[in-house]
Amino acid sequence: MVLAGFDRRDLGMMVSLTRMSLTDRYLGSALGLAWAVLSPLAMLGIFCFVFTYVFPGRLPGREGTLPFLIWLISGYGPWLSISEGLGTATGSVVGNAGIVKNIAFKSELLPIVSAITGLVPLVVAFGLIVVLQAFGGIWPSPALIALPIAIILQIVFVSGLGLFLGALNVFVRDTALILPNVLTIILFASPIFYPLSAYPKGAQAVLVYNPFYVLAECYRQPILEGALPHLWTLGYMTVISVAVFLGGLWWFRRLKSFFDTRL
Amino acid sequence: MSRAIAITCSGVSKRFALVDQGSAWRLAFSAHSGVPVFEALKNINFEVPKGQFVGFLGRNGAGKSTLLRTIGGVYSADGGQIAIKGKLSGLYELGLVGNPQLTGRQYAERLLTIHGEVRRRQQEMIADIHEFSELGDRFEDPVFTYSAGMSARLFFSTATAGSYDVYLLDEVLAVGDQHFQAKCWRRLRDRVSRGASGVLVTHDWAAIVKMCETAHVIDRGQIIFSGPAANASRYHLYGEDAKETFEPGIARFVARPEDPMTARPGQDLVIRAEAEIMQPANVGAVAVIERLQPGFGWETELMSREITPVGQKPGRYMVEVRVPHLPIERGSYQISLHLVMPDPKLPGRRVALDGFSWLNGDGLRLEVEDPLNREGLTLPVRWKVACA
Repeated sequence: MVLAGFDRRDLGMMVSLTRMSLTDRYLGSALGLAWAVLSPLAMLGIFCFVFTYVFPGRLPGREGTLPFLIWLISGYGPWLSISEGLGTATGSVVGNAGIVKNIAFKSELLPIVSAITGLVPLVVAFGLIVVLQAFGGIWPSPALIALPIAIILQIVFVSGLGLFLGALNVFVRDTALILPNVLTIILFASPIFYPLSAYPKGAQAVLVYNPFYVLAECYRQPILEGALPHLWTLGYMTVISVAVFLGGLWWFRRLKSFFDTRL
Repeated sequence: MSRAIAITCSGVSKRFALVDQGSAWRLAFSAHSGVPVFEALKNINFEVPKGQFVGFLGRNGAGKSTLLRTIGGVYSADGGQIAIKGKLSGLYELGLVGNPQLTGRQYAERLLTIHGEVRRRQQEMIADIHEFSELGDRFEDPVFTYSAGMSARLFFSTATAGSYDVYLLDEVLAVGDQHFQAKCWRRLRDRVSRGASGVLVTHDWAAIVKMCETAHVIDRGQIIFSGPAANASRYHLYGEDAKETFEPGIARFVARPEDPMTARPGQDLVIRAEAEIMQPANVGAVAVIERLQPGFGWETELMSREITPVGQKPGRYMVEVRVPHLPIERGSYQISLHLVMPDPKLPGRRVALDGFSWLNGDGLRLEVEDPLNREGLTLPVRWKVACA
């Protein structure tokens, strides 16, 4: 079976590469895989501290700190995972020049693998949410079965952007340098730390289509409300993700034959 | 009978865009036309028969490594077709790719996984790699602690651990100590004898002569010479202008001597050829016997020190260069036969007038067979000195 130019062999390669980059990322440091858990945990902890004690935020219509914390993590966790995925995807081709130059495989797989390995912080965030919910006596709702859909949408979306950025970075190395700043801007411009209602009505109508926000909503609906995500968010996100992925793939394949000159 | 072909390359070309800071943006965001390109490979055609290694010789930057990567599918060709039959293993550069924190064992595991070896077979292969590389306890150390030679051992052992049908090797055997090199050659020969084929790319002509029957010389992305490995190495070393120049109009050979000649060790060898002297000169003949064949290398076996006189006046002569008690063993040799005369300007030097030489592509072959009997003098000889 061939899908978008990938076949079974590529799937196997993708699995090997994913395993490889996971071990690479955490190998050689004293705590090894523990950092995979500790680092997102630290980030989540800092933001929870800041937004509950320094700038106390309240969720409209909800009492107490706990629901706010869960709301915060269920939005910031996916974001951490998206930015991690985008960051590694951007450097994936240049960083793996050794493999790209010496092994015959589809280098398109590298940004996709980055999007997948970026899921580690998401898993940590999920773990934290489960603990907090158990603490607050909240039972997991059956709506959580919708989460895999959100995860798949995220992988496709991040892969698409990653394909674009990863290929661009081969030619314009500044891409990887600017990316963290751009990501920070997007983070604070998106209603992830604050509710959408914080914006004026006019802006809301536009911002509601921000894919980063929509993606966060796909996670927040099942986790917080125990409801399936709104159908339009899923539909909208599917269209956006697939379009971004195919666009990124087209872009990557267009530039791929020129990688040889730049690596 | 048509021979099985392992690799076919027809009309393969590869261009690299010359990218600088400015054109990088242009390349990324606008049309690709207008970006200056460098033609790394131009219309490369060749075939590798099954069970053979074909060599590629060339100077640095001639396009050898690009060609190898293009054959291996790491680079995509811009034109032409490449067909490979069978499972492929490529050693494109000796640097260890990947994370240097990995131990030798992890590194080997990783490469095998990437090559799609199933986990079950891997353990067996890892044991083989461990043994062949002779890394011993260092196999469990991170690869960044390895010396260049040790990395080469690990890399070669891993890339040849499985039995592949086609090997692509780049300068691989230039590193590593003699002992390991010898092992590598043995392993490659063993693979070839089991029907594997491959391409060997190097500027080490001796390796080409050892491993390949045919070789190509590549320069500025084009094949400029194809032929037997020995001739290709010669061409690579000295180029087109290495062809000997002869002083014309004084003397020449009328006919080509018997070719190939056969002889037996210990017997007298007489090389006969008819020559014509056109101008009065003190013409003589010299012969050189060289052995140059895969598996042995290149060495001069025998050189006639004395000039065999031919004649001084114009006319036809029979040249007879005599090698008494041929002191060389069974094998295939090359004979170069030349007509010479003393150089009038430089006493002691000779001027070549005409000749047959494999350097020019018309050398004479000599097949030395087994000696008829074990009597007489055959080298090596052992003397015993006794006091009377």
